[in-house]
Amino acid sequence: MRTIKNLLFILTSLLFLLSCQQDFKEIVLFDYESDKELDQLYWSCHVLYSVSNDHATHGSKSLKLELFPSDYPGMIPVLAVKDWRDYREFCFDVYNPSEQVVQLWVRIDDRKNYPDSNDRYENKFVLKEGNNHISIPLESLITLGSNRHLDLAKIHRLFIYVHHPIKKTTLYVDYILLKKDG
Amino acid sequence: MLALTIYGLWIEPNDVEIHQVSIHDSYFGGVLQNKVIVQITDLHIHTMGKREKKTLDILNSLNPDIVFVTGDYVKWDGDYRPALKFLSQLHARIGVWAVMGDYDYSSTRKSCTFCHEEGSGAPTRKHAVRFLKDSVDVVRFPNGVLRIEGMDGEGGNIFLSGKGIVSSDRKIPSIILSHSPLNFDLIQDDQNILMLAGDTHGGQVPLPGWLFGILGYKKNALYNQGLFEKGRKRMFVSRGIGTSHLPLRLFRTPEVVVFHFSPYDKL
Repeated sequence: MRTIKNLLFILTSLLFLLSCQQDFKEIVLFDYESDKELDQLYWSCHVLYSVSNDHATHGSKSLKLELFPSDYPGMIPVLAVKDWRDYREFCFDVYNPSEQVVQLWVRIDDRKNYPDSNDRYENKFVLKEGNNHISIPLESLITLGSNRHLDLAKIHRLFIYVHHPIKKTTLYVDYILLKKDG
Repeated sequence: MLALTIYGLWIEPNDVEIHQVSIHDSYFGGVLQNKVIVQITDLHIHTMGKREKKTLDILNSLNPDIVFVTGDYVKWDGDYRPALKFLSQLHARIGVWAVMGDYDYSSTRKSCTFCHEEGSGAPTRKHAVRFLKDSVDVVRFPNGVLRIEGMDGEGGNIFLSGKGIVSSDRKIPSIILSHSPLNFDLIQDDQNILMLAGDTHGGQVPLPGWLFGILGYKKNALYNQGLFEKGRKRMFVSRGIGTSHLPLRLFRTPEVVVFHFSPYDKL
């Protein structure tokens, strides 16, 4: 009986350790499960942020973005993790409730002082109606003009935005994470 | 020493004075002559106390045509409500224009309440101050037009990093509101502009410029307080009203600045 108990204990411990290892394969940067997480955004004009019960892909809530007509409305989260060297992929989910496709841009800066367009990563993703999973291999983070690989040790800024929307656009963003290999 | 400390901590910070400044310029003087133009800045309001009430009393006694407010209304990530209450009590015959300072963006979420009702995109009904964020207003007077520009260094457009209006083609002279005086260096020398700035608090205590430079306060080293001219561009840096870091002012009395514009040269 004692041996069985010991075996069960070892098995449970192993399962726990395995589950922990699974967790370490990714780091969730933002999950938007509470109103407090709204303070981890740089609020700016022409955008309304709120935590929503709709269209969550992880946990029970998502970030609702209401983007009003302007130049580049979007979201700039306050990055706590700036060293991305240990990861392979940057991912997030976006729900587009509109029947019309939305062109979503992702900009990543590895320099603090607002690098020019030829010295930053910027890419466009087409969002169809419903849920969209965006996955960006970190090895593809190359600047537009200078063809320079971003310095993954010094990621300064993430900007997810829509380019000059002519009418109000609503999106739901969730589960922003960095993934490791495997 | 004790007397100086008591004076610097409790007396001078609450002793708001009026600072009269004359600007001689054919264009600004022609448009703004006989108008009461006032600047206040760097209020750093924690609560509606003695200093804030005195500032409002002075403003009311001046009965201004225009009030310009150049940022830093709150304490760092502090309560924004007292500042909003203060702004609700600002009045001027033509209007009140403002820009935000770095402290006002210490909580970007709360900073939205300067312009919007909480939790909505609707314009605020709490005050009538018009905030300029890298934008321009044009005001028509009987003798001409005044451009009022607001440079927003902190929460501005990420693509322009707050320099969006610097390169704009100014066909007529402008008054530029900027919290940071360092933005003066972004303006070409041949532009006929008057920049109104703050941020420095005049150092709060008198120190030589080189020492401010060593301490890392470039703005104080270059533009601590007063009027600066380079080419056709001019800037007035007010030492402001409130305090930050240390609640101390020594020979740097809080000030409400009143501008007198004249189209004639200095005698």
